[in-house]
Amino acid sequence: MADEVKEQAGGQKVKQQRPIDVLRQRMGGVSDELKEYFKEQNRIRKLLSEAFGQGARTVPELAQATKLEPHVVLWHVMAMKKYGRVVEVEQKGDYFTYAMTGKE
Amino acid sequence: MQPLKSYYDGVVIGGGITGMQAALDLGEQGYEVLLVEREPSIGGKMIALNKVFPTLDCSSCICTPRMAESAHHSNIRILTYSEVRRVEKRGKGFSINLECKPRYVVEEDCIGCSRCEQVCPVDAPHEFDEKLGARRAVYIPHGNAIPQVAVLDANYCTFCGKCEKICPTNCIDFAQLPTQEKVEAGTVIVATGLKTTPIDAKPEYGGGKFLNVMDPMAMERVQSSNGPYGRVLRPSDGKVPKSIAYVQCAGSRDETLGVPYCSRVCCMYAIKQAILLKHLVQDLDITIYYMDIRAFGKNFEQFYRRAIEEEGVKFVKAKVAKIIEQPNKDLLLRVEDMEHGGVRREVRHDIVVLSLGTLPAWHAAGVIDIAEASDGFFECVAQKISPTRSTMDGVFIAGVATGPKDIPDSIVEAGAAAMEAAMYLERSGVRRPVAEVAAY
Repeated sequence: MADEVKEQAGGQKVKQQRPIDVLRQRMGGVSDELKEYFKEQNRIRKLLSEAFGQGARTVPELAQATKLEPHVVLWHVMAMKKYGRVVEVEQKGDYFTYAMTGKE
Repeated sequence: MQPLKSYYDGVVIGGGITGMQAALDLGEQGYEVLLVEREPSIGGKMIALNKVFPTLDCSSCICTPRMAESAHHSNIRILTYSEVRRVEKRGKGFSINLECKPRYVVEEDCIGCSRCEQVCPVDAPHEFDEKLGARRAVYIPHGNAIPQVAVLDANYCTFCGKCEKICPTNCIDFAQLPTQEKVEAGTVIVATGLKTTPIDAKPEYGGGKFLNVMDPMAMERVQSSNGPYGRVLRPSDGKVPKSIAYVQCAGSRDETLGVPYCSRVCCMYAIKQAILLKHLVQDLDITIYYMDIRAFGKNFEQFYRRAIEEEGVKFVKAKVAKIIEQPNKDLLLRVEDMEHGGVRREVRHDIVVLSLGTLPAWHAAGVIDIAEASDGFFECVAQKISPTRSTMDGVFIAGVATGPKDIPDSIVEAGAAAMEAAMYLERSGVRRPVAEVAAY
């Protein structure tokens, strides 16, 4: 990210780091652990989007389709539900079904 | 952050129900109070509860007015996301060092719109929902949070800058640093609340290992309509449970855990949760495995009787020896049924809630030189006649900081501590003149 160029009194231009870059530096950048975590989150979301297709699915159905552990599927489906990407549809036996809303 | 005053009549450590009540009781008498809370919102444990026993009143409905009153009281200043680092006696008063953690949000400018949270790309485990649900790297702590202000967890931040771009009031401030503050105070009240015993303390119960062995705070969140699932589901796979077990004394009355005492609230919260679960899930079977049921308070015995006679909760006097996880994540309990000659049985359940014990949430070592009793809670110098007096003159203790107790007892003790603090301020002569007194 480019530093901002600011003009001081006297016409001298100096480069000033943006606060976000200062914080990034102070934190030592994005840690490898967080990079892995974020990459895995995106991978799981992609798998779930494909597994949902156009229909409503239960957590075990999504787990079977994605080969993910059911508790992992549940956590991510609930996260997507909280932020409006998934909605609960109806009860099917011992489970509820969920579907994607199309919201990004 | 708005500057702190150099002096407060009282500093209350802990922004849960006890701390808020103590602050309000002092504030209403005209004393100026600083209420310090380490989490990004006041409310403590109570704001995370679904309902309270034995009335089954909505916990938020009781707690949020106290939160709002504390936040808007002209004599109370709330300092959240901050910790007390050192309290030193100076004559009759105190010098207090505080550390304020950076929210990376300008509190005064944030309108709590949560647009930053909506655009943040990183989902993180939500501590408020006992990590069963998600939040974003930048997030409003919860729907009832006070202040209703975002906080950024830099450990989950990828520095994409989306929150900064979307914020309508430009209040994201990545340049914030932790700050050290110092105030003088006439008196201190310690109201630091509780935590539960570790869920994995007894390996034979599989807590922390088996997904469907839950701690009671997690079950409170699952039961809550604003909880992680929006309804009662099993954590391993989202199944609607048909059978739930409670294991009593799973963290108390146990010398091996260093918790020889009874935690006082576990029987009642188990009964409360059991009754509520019966209302929330059709045809749900609930069994409470107990050593003895302690229902000592006002209407507690009636509440226990209601659970048996009206709600159909089963009570089995049995010691649970072991919990075994099945391949489908069902749980098999090996119990010794004491009502039937100690016969051993194996019983299957979908979820097991361990009624964990109560520990003090905070220890003062290195911060305030007040003594703890052998059970780890703060020591009262005159337990029978003045239970809120600590071992340091001018420092008062209240709520679960002094020992396990329920919400009404905590509130009563908060009032007692506030009264003792007020008397100390008046008798010691330590109080400094204040410019205004809040109208009653």
